[in-house]
Amino acid sequence: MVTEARTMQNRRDPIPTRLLASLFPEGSASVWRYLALIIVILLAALSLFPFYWALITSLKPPADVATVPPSLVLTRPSITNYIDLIRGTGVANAPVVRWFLNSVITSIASTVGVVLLASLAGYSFARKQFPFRDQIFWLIVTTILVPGWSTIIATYVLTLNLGMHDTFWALILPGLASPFAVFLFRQFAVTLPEELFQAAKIDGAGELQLWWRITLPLSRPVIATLAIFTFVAHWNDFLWPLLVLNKQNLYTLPVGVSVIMYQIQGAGPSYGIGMAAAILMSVLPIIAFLIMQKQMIEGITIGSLKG
Amino acid sequence: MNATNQVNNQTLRAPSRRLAGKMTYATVEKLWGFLLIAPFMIFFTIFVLVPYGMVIWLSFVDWHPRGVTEYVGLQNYIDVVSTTVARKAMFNSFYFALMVVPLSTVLSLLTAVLIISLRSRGLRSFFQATFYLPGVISGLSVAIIWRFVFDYHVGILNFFLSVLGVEAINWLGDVYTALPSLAGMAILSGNGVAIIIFCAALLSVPADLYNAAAVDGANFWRQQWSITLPLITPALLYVIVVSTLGALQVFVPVFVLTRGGPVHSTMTVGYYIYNQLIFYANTGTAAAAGLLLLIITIGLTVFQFRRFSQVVEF
Repeated sequence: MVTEARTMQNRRDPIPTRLLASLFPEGSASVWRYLALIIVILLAALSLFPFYWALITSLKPPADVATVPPSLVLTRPSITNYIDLIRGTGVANAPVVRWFLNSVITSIASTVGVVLLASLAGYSFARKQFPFRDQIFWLIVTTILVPGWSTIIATYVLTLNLGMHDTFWALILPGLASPFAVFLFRQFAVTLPEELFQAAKIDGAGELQLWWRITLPLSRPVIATLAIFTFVAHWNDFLWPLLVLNKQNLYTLPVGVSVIMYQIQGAGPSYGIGMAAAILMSVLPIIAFLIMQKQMIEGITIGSLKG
Repeated sequence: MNATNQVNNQTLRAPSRRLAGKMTYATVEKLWGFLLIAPFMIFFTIFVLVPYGMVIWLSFVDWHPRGVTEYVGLQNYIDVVSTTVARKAMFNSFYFALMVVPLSTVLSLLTAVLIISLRSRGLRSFFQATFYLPGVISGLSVAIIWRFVFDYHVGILNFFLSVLGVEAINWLGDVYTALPSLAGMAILSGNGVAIIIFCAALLSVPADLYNAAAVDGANFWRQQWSITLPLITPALLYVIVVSTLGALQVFVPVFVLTRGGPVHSTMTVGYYIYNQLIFYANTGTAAAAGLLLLIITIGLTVFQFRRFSQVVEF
């Protein structure tokens, strides 16, 4: 009876547990499980340690930042590093708040644009019949695999010729055509039930209404996923704004921070400001992740496995 | 077919107000299909397709923002292939990818197996989230943090070494350790996405297959080789292809931690292209290097696909 119960229970276990458990004699399955838990905790601690270290360093008073030996816990909390960062101490012209707002504005504008264009196109690729539809779609998907470095020079020259450098257009417009977004939206829109569209058509809905009133409301989960990925990607983007922005008051937060870091590097206490900058840049993405972790984790899986 | 053509011919001549009424359902459908993808396609054409053509053109000319653009034939390619720095950059990018891709793939797969073997669903999603968290933090933040970790005098890594009684290592300042240090950082901080993908793949393997194999007398390793591996191969391939692409293009860590030095030991293709474009205003060499990278990546991706389809059948 006992063995039977165990087998029944084990059947509900995930496969690796049962397989690894089968290696060990009776009863060692739970030993393995605890061992696995301990190793996972250690690995997680290892991968999070640098961020913990950055967080407590950023909250130390500047004098405590670069001590030998370093203190691994926070004894005297202080926000001096953050104040120094926002005031741009040690740097000629560092409007950090402005940079933060620049990042917010361009990331939101990009996100709205990407979601609108991708939902229109994705809906069309999923539900309309037109010549070369699948060829065009696969052309778009193929470009996801082209390394960015191959064409960034051309995009740089193109945006320069279009007079977009040192404007937010250079940050927003080139990113609007996101192949990944169209792919994700199309994969979702294919699964919507056709009856709904038929019923709406019979009720006299026009094509744009089908998109606006049927597709978009039903696509809330994928829109949320898409929006969060796009926002975080633009928020974190560093290379492209670094290339196309030269005016200091147009910088996005990452470009501004890199300039600060370059100007104050070498000085020991500068690490305090550096860690504060790293934390400041991470706050919004982390909040977004904590709110939307389910959508993000599902989004990664959709993006990879259904391809 | 003929009927549709006739209707089409009629509609072409019809006044626009009556157009919609006379067109067949299929024609309207086609028109709307194109209309709905049009906004996306305009931006896609301008900012994705046109640059493909432009980069080829740029690689054959000597381009000046406000001057004469001159055709130089293969000179840009010759410059890239013959200069020591560019060759070093190609070599370093491969060396970097070779260090990062296998180790981080194995580490993520191992972590995923461990996470999946946890009993409670709550714990599983907690750890998935924990491992993914660093993935939403910008590469710039991660690099700034690791510069502090690697610092020769006050870095936490050398502090741990000193606790163990090992002499401090000049991680970023030594020709031999700089690139491996960057690789170590990439291996430890960039696994979130891969772990999530492996977890999903491992969970999707149907349990019945193992039972059936066990009945047929297959042992544990045999089951892994014949069931788990083939079924997670698409995920494995995806992770390897994507992480190879990422590793070959590494830029931000180089920019923040070493600026290509010491003595070009961390000069990568990405940093080389950036340098050529921004500091030397050499769009030609930058474009040629970018295209060479593209050709190499395509070759590598095709090779990885072939290799995998030899090992297991999809």
